[in-house]
Amino acid sequence: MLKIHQHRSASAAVVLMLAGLLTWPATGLAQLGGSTVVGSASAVQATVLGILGTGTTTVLAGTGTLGGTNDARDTSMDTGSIPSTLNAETLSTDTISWVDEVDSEASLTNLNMTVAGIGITADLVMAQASQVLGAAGSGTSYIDNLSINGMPVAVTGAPNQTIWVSGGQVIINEQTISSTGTAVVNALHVAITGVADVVIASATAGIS
Amino acid sequence: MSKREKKIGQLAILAIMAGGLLVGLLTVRSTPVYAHVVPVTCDFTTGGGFVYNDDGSKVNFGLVAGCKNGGFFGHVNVVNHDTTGMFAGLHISSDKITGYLDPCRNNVCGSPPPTYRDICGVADTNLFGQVYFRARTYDGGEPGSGPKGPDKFGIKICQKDMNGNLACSVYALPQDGGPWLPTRFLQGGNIQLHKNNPSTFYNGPTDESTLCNGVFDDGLGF
Repeated sequence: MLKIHQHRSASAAVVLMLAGLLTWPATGLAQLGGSTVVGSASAVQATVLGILGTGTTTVLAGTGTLGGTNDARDTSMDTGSIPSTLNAETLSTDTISWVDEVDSEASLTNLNMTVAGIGITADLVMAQASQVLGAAGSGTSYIDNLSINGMPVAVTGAPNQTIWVSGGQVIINEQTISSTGTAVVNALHVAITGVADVVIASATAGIS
Repeated sequence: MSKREKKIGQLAILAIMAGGLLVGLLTVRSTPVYAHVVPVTCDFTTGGGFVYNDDGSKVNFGLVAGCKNGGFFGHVNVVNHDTTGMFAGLHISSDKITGYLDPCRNNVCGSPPPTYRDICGVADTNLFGQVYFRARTYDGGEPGSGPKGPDKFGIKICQKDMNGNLACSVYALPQDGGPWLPTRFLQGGNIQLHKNNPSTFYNGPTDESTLCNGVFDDGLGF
């Protein structure tokens, strides 16, 4: 009887140990891989509204979204265009994640676009977004030689610099930080009411 | 030179271009002084912007490259706006990144080592077909562009000639437009060298010749 009891005790101990072993790495993995990451980038995302109000969205050099931690996605085009809307060169995007950080970048050169009759050119448009686990996300935009309707625009570097244009606005270095710290940076955002919404160089990075 | 000789020369150049070969350039590379290798703690670089050719025309580029999960990843794109010479209108679009190196590892460029990185790979072009390339980046601070950078970008492209020797753009003759494109200051844009992270490791071959397909950094400059 005693022997059986001992056997049962030993069995129970083994079960407990196995349970502990099974639980321990599971907990570790959950801690390591438990972060939720958000990362994507696109060189151009243009939504043009039709006469019925339906929108057609075109994305150039979009990375898609990160699949998890320790992922990396990138894409590029030597030239890109949307007929009647824009032309650009060296479109380049990437988004990369680790267990404790996400970085995303988007850039293009030689931008030449026309939206609702408004001409916009720039030599270089770039957005960078980053978030380190536990801290708020941050971002930066780089824009060289921006002109709107042929007039040079002084880029201040401040987030959300807004230029009002006929029927809408151009937001330079548009930045949004979500409640979880995810950073969304749109280097150039052209919004013409009822006509088009065009984002040039967009980078998103978040981890929580 | 007679008109006939000029005509023959022009036809020869056209034939060379049509054949997709970088012949007409010097073909023998020098022996590298240093063995450039993958960064000790590998990282990655992103960048976009433009530099100027010697005649003031633009060379636009966009890139990302580095180590990730034991291998290399990324891309390099270049559009040359020069209108004369062998490389006029050249577009380079990478197919594969085969190497990511620190040309200043082991303090060969001084201490602390300046933050240069070399990106090697295979690319398609609109003028020469497939080429090997080696791009050089330098992150000198923020903002990265202006008359004196401080960030830098350069690239050399190479093809093997009929004898198996590499013909490289940095040795182009003056009549072909001159060397293209030794490293120089960014006039617009930015280069960003990102810090390393546990997943930015590399565990493949480490010899420079393999990583860079035999394209060493001679002629690329700093």
